[in-house]
Amino acid sequence: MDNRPESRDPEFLLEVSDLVQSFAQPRGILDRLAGKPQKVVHAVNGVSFAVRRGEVFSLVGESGCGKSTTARTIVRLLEPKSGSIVFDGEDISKFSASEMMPVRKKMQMIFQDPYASLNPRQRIKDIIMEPMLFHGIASGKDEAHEKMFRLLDIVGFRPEQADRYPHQFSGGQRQRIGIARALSTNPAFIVADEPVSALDVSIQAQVLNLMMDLRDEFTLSYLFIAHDLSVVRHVTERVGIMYLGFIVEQGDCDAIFGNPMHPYTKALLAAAPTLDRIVAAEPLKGDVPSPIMLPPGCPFANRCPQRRDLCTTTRPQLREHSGRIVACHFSGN
Amino acid sequence: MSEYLLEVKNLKTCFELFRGTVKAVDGVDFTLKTGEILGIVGESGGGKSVTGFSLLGLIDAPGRITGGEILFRGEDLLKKSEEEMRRIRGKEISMIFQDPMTSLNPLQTIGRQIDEMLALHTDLSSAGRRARILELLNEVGIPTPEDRLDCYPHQFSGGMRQRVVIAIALAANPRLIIADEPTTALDVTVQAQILKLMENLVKKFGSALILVTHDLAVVSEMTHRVVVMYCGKIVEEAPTAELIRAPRHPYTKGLLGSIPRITGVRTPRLPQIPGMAPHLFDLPKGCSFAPRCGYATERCREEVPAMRELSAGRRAACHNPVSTEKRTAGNG
Repeated sequence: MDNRPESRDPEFLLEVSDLVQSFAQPRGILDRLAGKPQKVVHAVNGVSFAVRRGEVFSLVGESGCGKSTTARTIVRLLEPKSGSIVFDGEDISKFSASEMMPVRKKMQMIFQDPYASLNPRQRIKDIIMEPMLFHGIASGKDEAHEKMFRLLDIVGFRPEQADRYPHQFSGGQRQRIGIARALSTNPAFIVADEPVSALDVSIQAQVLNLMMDLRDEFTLSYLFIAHDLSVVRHVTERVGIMYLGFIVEQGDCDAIFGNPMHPYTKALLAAAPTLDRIVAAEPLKGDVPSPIMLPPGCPFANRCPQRRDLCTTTRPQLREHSGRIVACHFSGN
Repeated sequence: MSEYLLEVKNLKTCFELFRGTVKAVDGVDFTLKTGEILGIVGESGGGKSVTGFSLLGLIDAPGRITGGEILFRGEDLLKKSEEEMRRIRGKEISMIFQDPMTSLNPLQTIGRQIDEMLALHTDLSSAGRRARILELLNEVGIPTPEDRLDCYPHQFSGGMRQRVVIAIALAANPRLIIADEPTTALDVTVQAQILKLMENLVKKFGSALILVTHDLAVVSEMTHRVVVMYCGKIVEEAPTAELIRAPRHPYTKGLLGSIPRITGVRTPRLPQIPGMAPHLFDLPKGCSFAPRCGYATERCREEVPAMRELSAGRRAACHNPVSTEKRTAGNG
């Protein structure tokens, strides 16, 4: 399961296998003169998962776990170092920019920051029409106009708001504009990178509900990137928990949230504040290790309450376990 | 002296802007006893942070505190001179800010930044201060403090920096700590560490804590009492457990409803509060929440509801508070 060769199963819209992404840190002139070695940040270390058609798959984890880098690599905003990305039956991991063009129509992205992801100098209507005209979805301006008004209506705007600029809207409204823009090319797949984390709770609920309505209306599949576990649980069918660039546990969302097996998943769920818990669990100690010097053993070993000697020397592989896969030497105990 | 450590009465803070006056805090009352943890919650624009800053007199032009009283140990802080306030800030009342990346000076070692606080507010000798710094760093859970004294903030992770900020806030043993979104910038596992730490330290040092946050789940785990703010006004106040179990103001109810749960039954759709908060420049005539409220009547659109005591320790500013008996699953 952890290394799915290009099965090209039509059930899956996206299949990611052994994806690796790393960044060389810029070396200053002094470091170079001193002959210091190049530092490499290992952001994503062999991640494999698949998204079924019509499904919401979430990658969850804390900052620096590689979830956003994974998302950006999949939509080819970043070049993968190795691994394969099979989208709709085609391996796009080595596609050139021009080969990617038709794929980008089908694969759109919603970004975290609604203040930074819209061009402040474009009117809302132009923001939404530009991708349609660029990809030739609409045959001309008239058709684009018509589609744009329909999309604005779907995400809850009045036609007269189309002439406004992004700064005239609140964060939640801007996020809805970003959603309309993503929908403008009739995509099958949407990568949503923390789409609601910058929003107030009451607005967050509105945007989440909208995204789920659109999924049914447009038969979309989502790759959802988030750190908020309660949001993830609300929208997701299957989930992958990431830590230090590795998936440590992956499977059915209800099964994992109901009975987490990896010690990190357990700690993460225990640490999330909830409205109805009386006694808080003992918090996890320590910090995430540096992604420059990956630990030789389990990435979670230094913080794990169940650590044994084996964990610091040997990296655990993902293994099938009660209907999910877990990367822990002792998850069965 | 009164039984309260802090009594805020009818506090008003305005911002005079080109477009008009924004009443960011509009007649806020609350009290706080020693040892108590009070949560101030609300969404952006609710006035919760401005309330926190107002308590310390940290309102810059074009903002101005235009009325009310802030009685701290019986003395009105609004009547104090800037010089007197400077002696209170840090020593009597200290503040923890949201962003540990920007609230430390990047050019000074953390040892020196804690030392500054001690030199200003205590009579300790230089050796005494050093001992106290080590003690504080140990207290907030920084391993091997001796080796960390000469480190600069950039050498620390976000969680570690927030620990240093807390050490600075605690340095002079303040009676009151105001924490403005202290864990919002941190990851959940680190957030849990920091919240636990703050709770333990407040208990240990017998201070009081005001926790300003947007996160009702954090409030529910940390605080004894909660004040909910909307558009510059307090709309509801109650003991935390009661507020979470049976909110009386429709806004509180809507907020609680729109948070997805991590356990229990999954609902296909989240109950949502329709619309969005009005702009503070043009608030509606009656209750500010009326346009989004499912319980609103004609009266709500005409008349601003006054704060009323509903039961012991519970109050709400609402003409039609949610009844406590029938708690339906629908939205507010």
